[in-house]
Amino acid sequence: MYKLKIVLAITLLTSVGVLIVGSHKTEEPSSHIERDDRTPASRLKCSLHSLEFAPKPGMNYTYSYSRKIDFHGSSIEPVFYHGDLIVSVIKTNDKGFEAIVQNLITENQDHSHISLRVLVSTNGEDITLFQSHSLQPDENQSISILKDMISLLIFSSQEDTTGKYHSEMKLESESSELRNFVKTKLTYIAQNSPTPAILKSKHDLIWDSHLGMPLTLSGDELTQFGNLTIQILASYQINLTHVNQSSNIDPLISSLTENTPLALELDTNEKTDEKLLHTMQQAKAMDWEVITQKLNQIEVLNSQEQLKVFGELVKSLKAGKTRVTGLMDFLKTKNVLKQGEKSAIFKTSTGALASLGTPEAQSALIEIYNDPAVPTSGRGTILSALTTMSSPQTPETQKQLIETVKNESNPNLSLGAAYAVSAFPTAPVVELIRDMKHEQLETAIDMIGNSGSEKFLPDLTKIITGDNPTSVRAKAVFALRSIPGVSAAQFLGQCLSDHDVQVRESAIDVILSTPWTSHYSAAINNCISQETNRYIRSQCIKAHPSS
Amino acid sequence: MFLIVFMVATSAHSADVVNQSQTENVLGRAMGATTTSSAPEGLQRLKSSTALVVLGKIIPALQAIGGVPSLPNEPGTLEYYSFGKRIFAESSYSKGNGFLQAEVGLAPVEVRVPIIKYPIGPLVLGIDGGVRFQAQVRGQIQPTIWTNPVSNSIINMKISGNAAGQAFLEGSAQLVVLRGGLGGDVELIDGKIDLDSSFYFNGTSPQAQLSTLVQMMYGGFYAFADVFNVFGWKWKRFWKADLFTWKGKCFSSGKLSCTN
Repeated sequence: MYKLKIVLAITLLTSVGVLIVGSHKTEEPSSHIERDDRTPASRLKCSLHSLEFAPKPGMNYTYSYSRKIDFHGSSIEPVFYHGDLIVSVIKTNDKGFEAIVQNLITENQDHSHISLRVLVSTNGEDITLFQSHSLQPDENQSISILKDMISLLIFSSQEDTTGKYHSEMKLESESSELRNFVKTKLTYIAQNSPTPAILKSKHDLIWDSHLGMPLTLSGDELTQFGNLTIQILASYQINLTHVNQSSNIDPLISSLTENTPLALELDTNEKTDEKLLHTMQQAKAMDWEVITQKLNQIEVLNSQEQLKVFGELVKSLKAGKTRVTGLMDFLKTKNVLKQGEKSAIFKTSTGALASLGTPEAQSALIEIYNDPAVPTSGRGTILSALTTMSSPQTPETQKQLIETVKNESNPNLSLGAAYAVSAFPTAPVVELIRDMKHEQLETAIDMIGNSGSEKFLPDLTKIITGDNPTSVRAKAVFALRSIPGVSAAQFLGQCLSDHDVQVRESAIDVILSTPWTSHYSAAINNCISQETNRYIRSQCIKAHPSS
Repeated sequence: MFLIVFMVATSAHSADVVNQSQTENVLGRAMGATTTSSAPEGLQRLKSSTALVVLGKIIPALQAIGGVPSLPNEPGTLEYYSFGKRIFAESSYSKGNGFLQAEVGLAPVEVRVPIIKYPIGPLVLGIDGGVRFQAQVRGQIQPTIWTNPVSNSIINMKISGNAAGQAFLEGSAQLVVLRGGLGGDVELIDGKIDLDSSFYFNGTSPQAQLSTLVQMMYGGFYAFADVFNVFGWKWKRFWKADLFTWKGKCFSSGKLSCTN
């Protein structure tokens, strides 16, 4: 039914500009598009407000689609599938619309009723999904494909199954009723996660403003991860085929209404491969006796073999809470606590507990720390492990560390506890740092460096620009290493032209150890052309993105 | 599915007394290690560091920094950082002769890197991995103080240690149209470093000797890849292999040798 409009849409897309008269009448006829009716793209103002979803409640919007994925640079056969996407609109209001979206994948008749409930804002920028029940692994495949189709259909969304992204969108051309938008994805907005490069991206939409829904969508996207040579070309075509009254969706609505929201982004945590699952389960379920036997022999192993046993121990501890208790019993039986860090069993066990990082594991570490038999070096090893631990410290762990900072008579342990507790800058830790006396300034700076908290940027700025010894200023610059944000990056750039060579060295050390940002550009270029210290200059050349 | 790019990069800058860096990368630059030792000219500092790379993420596993005091009878500094954090060191300082020693025994650490997300058209590949690392480092500062004139005083500074790091991929690769699995361990680095230097207060350039023995990239990963056969709506394994094996590469300098 919508063939006519689609033909017109293609005309609009290709700018052929010839009046096409189709053989089918549309249900909701649009006026014919004459060549002169179209406005040249150069004269159009881009307005996302001209793309406002306004489907009618109680109507089904049925789209046919095809999706193809080519793997360039490999022998993998292309993947192709196609089907129908049915958007059954439940209700609309001034904020957006609510619908059930069903995906009928031709190649997968077994799961013909995979559906999601979607809430879409009027401008299409916000999408909320709900699923009906916990999914079987093979249903997951279909849901993933459905999520993908929704992210394509809701064209103005800034998110897809990989995550949120930056994009450019413009109105290419328009007629009285149809508008051609073009979107280019630029980069994914990653949160601490490497993401693929988008090498090429072009998404076309023909928007039917009379329907308030897309008429056709098509696109190609070429992506590549890192330096891997496989490039993935994903293309699609989606066409509206008909609009009719919806029926029999009440059971679907009720099954999808009361459930928790689902992310558009795919869940990458799920492990699906049976062989690998089996391997992992084997490691997890490794007999405790086998682990303890390996631990018993660890003293004679080389450092790489020790690391492998350590990895197995971490996996084993993850298999169950009781294993932490088992490890504690083992350590006491082996009488290794008094050897401290001289014992590979001690080091491997404390490292494994810190890597596990659960409240039980942290509690066990504190118990070992407080054992009178453990020497200073052994306690120091525990403090280092708590400093580099990935899991957040529990309140109990923080309490113990703060007490150690304040009351420990051994200055090395007191400092070690200060470094450890500042790695997780909660309110009491911020208070602890702020309460430090002037003679503890260098310790406070080290703690700020460990915290990576933006709250301390004004303090560091004051120290660096103030009348402080060179070593203190250089240390404060080094403390900027984990502080995020534009202000810290810009200030680091300024430090690179400081009059003191040590301060400049600290600045370039930090710049080299952090991801490149354009805020360093001017400072690095200046360093390359002006720096008199050859070492610092060579590091600036190394830091330049072109090197 | 994955291609190996094997790179070797070493650099030495004549501008410095010592500035030696060894890097090994595989899988593009997604995995590797770098060890750097330097006594930069004009900076009165000694530095040694080890960084690991897994799945493209650079992890600063260990950094040791020794600082020469501005006057010979003042204490120098020995600082250690692991994974970007200042860490505990068991240090002792003798006011009488200015001797400072600080030692670190790092328990093994396992750090998981964020899951890589890689879109396969409509779908996403996730790879889970991380590194394990342990190290032992000792630093020493030994001044030889002359009172007349004090500028003849010499500061000897040493940083020595060993470090071991390995990468692991646990095969949680997961995607929908295409999926791959990885497993195994790779020894990213196993090395010993001795950096011995002398700093002067009379304008003489510092002297430094570096001895290193570093073994990098030994081990392997196994891998498989399945493609999703939409016609049968089933997974089909199209590739299975003991993926990468690296025989390792040894670097040495100074008194240490790979052949011993």
